[in-house]
Amino acid sequence: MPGLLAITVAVLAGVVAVIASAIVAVRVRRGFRRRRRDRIGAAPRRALLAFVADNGERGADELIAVPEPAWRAALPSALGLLGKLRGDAHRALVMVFLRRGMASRALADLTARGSVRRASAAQLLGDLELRPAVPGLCGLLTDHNHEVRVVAVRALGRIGDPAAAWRLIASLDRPDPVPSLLATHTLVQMGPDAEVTLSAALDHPEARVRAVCVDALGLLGATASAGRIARVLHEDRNPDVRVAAAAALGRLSTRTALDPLIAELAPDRPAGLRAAAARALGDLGSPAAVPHLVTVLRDGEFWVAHEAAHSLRRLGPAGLTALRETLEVAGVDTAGHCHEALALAAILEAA
Amino acid sequence: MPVLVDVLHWADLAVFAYFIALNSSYLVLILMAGIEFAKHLRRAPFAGSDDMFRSPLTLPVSVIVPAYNEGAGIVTAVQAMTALRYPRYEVVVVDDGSTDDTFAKLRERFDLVQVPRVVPGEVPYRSTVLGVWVARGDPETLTVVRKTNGGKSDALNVGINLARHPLICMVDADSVLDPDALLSVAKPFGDDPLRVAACGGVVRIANGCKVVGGRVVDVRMPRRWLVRIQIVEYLRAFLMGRTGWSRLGGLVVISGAFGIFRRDLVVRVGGMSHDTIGEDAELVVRLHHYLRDLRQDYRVIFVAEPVSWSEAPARLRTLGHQRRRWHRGIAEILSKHRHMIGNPRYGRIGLLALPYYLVFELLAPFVELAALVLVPLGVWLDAIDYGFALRFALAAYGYGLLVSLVSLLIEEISFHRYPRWDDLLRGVTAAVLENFGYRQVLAIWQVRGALSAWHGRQAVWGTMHREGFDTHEGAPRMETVGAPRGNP
Amino acid sequence: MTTVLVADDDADIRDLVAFKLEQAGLEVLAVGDGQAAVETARTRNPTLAVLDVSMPGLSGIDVCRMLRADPATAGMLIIMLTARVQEQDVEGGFSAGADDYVTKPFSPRELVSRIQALLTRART
Repeated sequence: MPGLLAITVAVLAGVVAVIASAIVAVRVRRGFRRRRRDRIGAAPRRALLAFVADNGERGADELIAVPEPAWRAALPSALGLLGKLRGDAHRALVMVFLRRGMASRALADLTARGSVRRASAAQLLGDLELRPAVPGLCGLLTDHNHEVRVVAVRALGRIGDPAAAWRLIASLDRPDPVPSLLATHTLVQMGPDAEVTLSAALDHPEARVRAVCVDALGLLGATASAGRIARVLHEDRNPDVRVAAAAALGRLSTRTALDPLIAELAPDRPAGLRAAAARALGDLGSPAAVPHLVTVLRDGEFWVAHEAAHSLRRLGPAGLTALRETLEVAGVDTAGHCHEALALAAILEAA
Repeated sequence: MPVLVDVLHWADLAVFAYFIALNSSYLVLILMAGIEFAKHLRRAPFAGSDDMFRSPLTLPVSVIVPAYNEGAGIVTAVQAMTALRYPRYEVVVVDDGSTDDTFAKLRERFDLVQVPRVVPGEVPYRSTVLGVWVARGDPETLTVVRKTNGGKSDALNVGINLARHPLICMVDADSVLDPDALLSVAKPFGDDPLRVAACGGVVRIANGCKVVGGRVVDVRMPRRWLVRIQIVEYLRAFLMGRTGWSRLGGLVVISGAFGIFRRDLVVRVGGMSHDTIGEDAELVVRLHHYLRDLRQDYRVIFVAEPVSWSEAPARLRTLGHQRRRWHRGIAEILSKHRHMIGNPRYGRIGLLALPYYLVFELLAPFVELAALVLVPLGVWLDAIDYGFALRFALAAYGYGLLVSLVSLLIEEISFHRYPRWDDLLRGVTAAVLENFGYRQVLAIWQVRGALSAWHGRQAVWGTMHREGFDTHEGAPRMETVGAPRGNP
Repeated sequence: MTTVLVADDDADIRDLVAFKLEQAGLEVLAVGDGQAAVETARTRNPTLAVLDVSMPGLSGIDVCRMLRADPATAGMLIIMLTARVQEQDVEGGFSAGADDYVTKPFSPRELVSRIQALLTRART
């Protein structure tokens, strides 16, 4: 029987020892790899920093001559800098990468088997801002691996070629799509030339796609599309897309956005939409909205009256006068909203 | 007598099987967490928290901070909370009738000025709002509400009413947040805006760490073994356990110390419950209940990146109080939502997560204590042999130790937040020490907590019944606080 | 000689910026985290600080608010390196209170000229 006890204790001690040494091994290995990279990469890293600091005027040839193992050790630094810099320094770095043949290797890697290699290649091509890589990156928009798709979208954004817009929009209509926020940001980075494509996609059957396009048009300040967005605001089947359309129209700051937004203040619209329209009218900044906002100050829904009051505040003197006048004649709830907005206006003015 | 021995024999076998199942379930959850971390680490270079920070479309957040007699630390805490890396957010501090200088300190430091404010009454609260103040220099970003004392749930509900942004983040006043805390935990909402309903952040233990200006700048193990054991426990149960559940789609607990919710959903389910001890977990179960009833496609997510640090009890008495409360909370939630347990209508929550909480969380301390009596008794009465007792010890304690050590290993591979070698040794030692005394005392507290839920139920239900007619029914009341009098 | 504090947890960016500033004839104190930045700012009292917003532990925003809160360092010129496009004029959100913001990805040449512009403006 003591034998059994001894075995039990031995098993326990063995378990503790094995896992504890595994923990130690993990830590030692991490430290060792870091030190090794620092050691081998130190010299090329110094050359790299000096080169970048000089905007690439001197030292390109030395960097290109750095042997492969040392360059690999300095590569994390080089990739990091490439992603964080722009202007002369970025251009100089791009030249070194191109002359070392990194770009063509990355282009080939876009179809590699390993997803990490595809993702790294896409990241590099984006950071190099290489336009010829756009078709290859578009191919990754339907990659089966989520991370690869995300990296491809971000790379397309950094390159900013509007030709990729429709491929990106099409790729949103699938299960497990890339994050909406990222897709919108990428489309915005493609600039005003993407506007036509975005506007055409407002008829897309998938609500998520329409929402992304509406957001992107608003951020791009696509005033020419105001009419199309107004139609989405009136007609879309999905309430969230209509709310997004209201916000986008508010950002456009064009007179043509005024009437469509005012129309959505009508009592038969859903409360969320009325609130969004009231808010957007404050963003838009036209004093012509004042009488309409005053009407919805009496709205029974808290958020509609709240947004209306604060939009009036943001509309400046005309809105503030309207708030003061409403205060005199309104019921308790409406007066509360007026008081709140006027008090905030007073504090903001004093600050 | 032979019948008794027979019963004892089978009881001991049952306890043995229970511990094998319990520890195996931990191990499965931890391995799931390991897979999740591996995925997370691979994604990290491409995760793009900068996208989130940069975008004007990132959903703004209202950070709600209930505070009761927090005068000692409130200014540092609010300063740190107002300096997070997040594009648009506001901080709403709810002073829940503090009797100390909590409000005075805030007023002095942030130059607060009283403003009229309409409180929508979208979620019920029982106390009286005394007034609303804003920071003169930044009126849209710091709001302080004073109200009569009504408890944490009540304070949170007032905060939810006054929150103006679509996402609400509930934070304890003594939480120490990392600068990217909001960004990490709000990210799932940006990634999948149509589906994510709530997201919890991991809470780590701040004891022993160096805290400067309201931020943890150096992570260390504390001096007391009682806290070191809790660190191992937190890693295993909260970090790994909840990550595992999140991966399984069955997360039912988001710590009240740091969690983000969609405001509209919280309003629709009626805000925080006034009558539950574990109001944070109860809200999540109620959200599941509501969204499953509607048959919506939704997700509740757990973020494992370190975001929030809390002071753990360093004394036995406070620890006992905390654990009694926690277990009472689990018991009350399971009893309140008992019709969900085993109900296929509630999917993984009803069939997997809640039954698990019932069998392996609520009942675990009862079995633990029973084993302490039944196994020695079995050996004494020859119902089981000595070898069985040792195998039992291996299954209950040895296997448990293995599980703790594997969590430490996964922490070392993925986050490695304890850089010192001696802290590593302390972690391993704490995992061993946990089995001698800590577990047993914990079980006693937990059993007492569960029993108090059972005893206390009648009383709580009594008051709830009365409340039902006062505030929970009828149209939401809207009131304006601090408005100049004399107007119509 | 004018002293500039550079705080960034990314060693490559930190060394690069330090290198550029030394070329421009400034004395540089380079640190890798927020806590060191606050301590160095207090002990060495540099004229200007370049702070990366996203550092673990104390972020650039934290360092900025701590320097502004301390009378000894409240007047220090501060430039923030940030991923945000318009740090100053976004409604809501707390402004960090820096004198200038440089958006990442950034051009080192532009950063140096912004630093010099701030220094010149401060001298006059």
